[in-house]
Amino acid sequence: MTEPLLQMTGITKAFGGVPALADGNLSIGAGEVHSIVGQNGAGKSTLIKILTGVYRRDGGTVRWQGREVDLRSPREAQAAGIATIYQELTLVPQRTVIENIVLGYEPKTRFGMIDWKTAEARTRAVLGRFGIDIDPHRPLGSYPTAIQQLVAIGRAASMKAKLLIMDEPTSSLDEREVGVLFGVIRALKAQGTSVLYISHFLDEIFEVCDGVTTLRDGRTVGAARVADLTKLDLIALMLGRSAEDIRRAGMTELAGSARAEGGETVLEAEGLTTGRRLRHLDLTLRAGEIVGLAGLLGSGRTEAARALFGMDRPTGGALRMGGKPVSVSNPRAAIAAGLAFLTEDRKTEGIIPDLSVRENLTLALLPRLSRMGVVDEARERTVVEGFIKAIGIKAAHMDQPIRELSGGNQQKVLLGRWLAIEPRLLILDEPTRGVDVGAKREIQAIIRQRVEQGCAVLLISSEFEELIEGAHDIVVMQDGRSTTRLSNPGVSEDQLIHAMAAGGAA
Amino acid sequence: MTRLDPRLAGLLVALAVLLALNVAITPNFLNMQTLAVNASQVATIAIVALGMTLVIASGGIDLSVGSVMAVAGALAPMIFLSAWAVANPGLGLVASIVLPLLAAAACGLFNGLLIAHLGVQPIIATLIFFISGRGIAQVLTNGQLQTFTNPDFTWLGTGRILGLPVQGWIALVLTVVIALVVRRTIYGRYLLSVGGNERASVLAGAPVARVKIATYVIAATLAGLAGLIVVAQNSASDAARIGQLMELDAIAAAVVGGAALSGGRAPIFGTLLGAIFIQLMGYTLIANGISDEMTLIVTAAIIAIAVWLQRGRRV
Repeated sequence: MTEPLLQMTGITKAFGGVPALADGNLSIGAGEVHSIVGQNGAGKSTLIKILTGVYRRDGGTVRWQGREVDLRSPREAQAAGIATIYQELTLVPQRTVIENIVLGYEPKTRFGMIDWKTAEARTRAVLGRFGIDIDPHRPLGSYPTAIQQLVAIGRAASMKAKLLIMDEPTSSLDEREVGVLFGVIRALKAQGTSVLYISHFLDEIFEVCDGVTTLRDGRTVGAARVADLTKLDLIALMLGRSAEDIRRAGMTELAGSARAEGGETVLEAEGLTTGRRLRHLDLTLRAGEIVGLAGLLGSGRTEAARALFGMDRPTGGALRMGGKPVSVSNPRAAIAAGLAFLTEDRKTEGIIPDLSVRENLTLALLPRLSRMGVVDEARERTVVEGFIKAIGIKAAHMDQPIRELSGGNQQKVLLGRWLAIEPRLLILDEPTRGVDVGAKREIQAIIRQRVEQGCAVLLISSEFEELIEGAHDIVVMQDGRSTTRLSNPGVSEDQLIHAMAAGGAA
Repeated sequence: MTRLDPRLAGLLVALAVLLALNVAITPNFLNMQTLAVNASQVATIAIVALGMTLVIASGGIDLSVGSVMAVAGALAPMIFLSAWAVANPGLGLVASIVLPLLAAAACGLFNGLLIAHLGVQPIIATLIFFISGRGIAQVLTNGQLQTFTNPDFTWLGTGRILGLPVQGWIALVLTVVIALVVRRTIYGRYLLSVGGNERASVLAGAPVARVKIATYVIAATLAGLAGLIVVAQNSASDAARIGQLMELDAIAAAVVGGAALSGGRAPIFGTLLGAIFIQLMGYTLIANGISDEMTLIVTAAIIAIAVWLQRGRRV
């Protein structure tokens, strides 16, 4: 038996004493399309970054083409034949396709000038091989992202890469473009080039990959041929459950069972669509009720929230509030309609780092705190003081810049920002991610209290416990569609996992 | 806002040191005339720099201020020298102040619309008026120097109130007003939040486009006012020279005053102090017989130091 192209064994890596990888193993054969799957924090990206020379491993061995290697930088990895196609393109959009393909490897004439004839021939050969029909003299940036991505792949292939790493290559592609990309991957494979294909979308893995390695909590827990797996098997492996348990739990369907009567309907989405990532959302949210939104990464949970909050324009479906059709064209309109959205990314979509706790907390409330454009600071201080006490924000004083607070306290300020406007519907996207256990419990208690006062809550969470304990109903999403609605009490973790994986189990 | 910003305190100390140095070495420094000369010279820079500080706080930059000064400065004499204004001196005077300011505001509106609605980068959007504005001003005046005698209008640049030049008072009052606007109004709060984190501001419901447009309108209007003052001061309007290099002086004052080019901070009093500091530094050198050329180098060094001090403040 010949040795695989790549063999990583027993890789370990810790950051500041915290292990990110405890036992990473990865084996990829020549001409194989392989994937790595795992939940957030399973160690996927750490393992890949070790392979591409971005990080140095603490322990373990890497064998590449039958020899033990130590790739100390991305440049060394590239020289060895490991090329990475990043999500953000690293080519030069202003220059032509030809220039991009030969960038850094320009063929030279006898006089040391660039040999454009050879360059063009090489470019046409690369494009032809993948069936990309474009004018190579036009600037790369004049083509859609998908084409740019394909050119990047073509470039890597023309540089004699043995292994191409594609990190979420379909995140900005539409369906047709995904088809073209898969064609290219198959062409690469036919030429004997291996591909490491990273994607949150399990369907894509089943469509294009030969083998898959599963990581969980920093360890490789399985490596198998895709043909030998069902989607349910794979999900069970990722989550550390037995597929049989999940399958059995799924038999006892609870959906549709009687549940306590909720309050009046606050918001209703029917077949809401915004694009490839959100294809069909049915959702009913009632006052005094927490609806959980469950699903694997990439199932369209965040996109659902973005659509409700007016951040993405709907292309189909209906949205009703209080029984009347509404169109929420931007977050400002959403806020005016009584919606609030605590986003997942606290740093880029939440805090204004230089502003104080007070100014951050009242940002959404400002219009109601001002008269004739002047902020009523006395009232503002009273409001902020109330929230600091009520939700236990630990800050030196309310004029302290928010950037000096801990993550949990920043999150509480942001929660306060939304509670202050007394929303009719509060959308929470991973509200307790990255906050310590104490703050997490406090945040959950605050949310529960608001719900008792009649607020409707849409809770997006990857934590089953949070969903099962917290939500009255759980809507499960899959591939951009809401597929199942489970009613509490009585939802079990296995049942939830089954619903998340249902498509694959069928 | 009870605590004094440590950097503002630093600037105050530097200014005090410079004053003490002047009292010690510069002949006739403690003299009303010295104060008046410096105040009248610094006022226009300070007024433009106030607007620039707002623009920088929003995360932008405005290169067009000097050209906008030229447009306003070219318009004013055309209006009060017109036959209609000569027949109606009172109305004519008002019109010769109000109309140029409106024209300046329109320039700001153009900048703001390009930036907020078309997504043009501020440096590019304002470059358009930086280039074309001065051209427009010269076309308006046929490229000729307009000289005039109009004591009512020239009072803006030559009058005194309590011994201090009128434009000095204007700069002081505007500083206080704008500081209050930044601190007390919803616009000021949104300005800092948009400059500090635009995405988060959008999500919190801030009217980002309106805030940006308003900011460029304010900056351009202030530049227009500075243009009027320069014309009044000289009793002449030279479209080719009014406000030349003003954008750089204004940026320098804002930066020395503690504005961060990444946005989110609007140290209004710092800007005034920054303008005064640069002015006084120049005066000190010239009054002590150091050449103009040397003064430029020293000024540049001060800006470099200010930027260096700013380094590493942001996490």
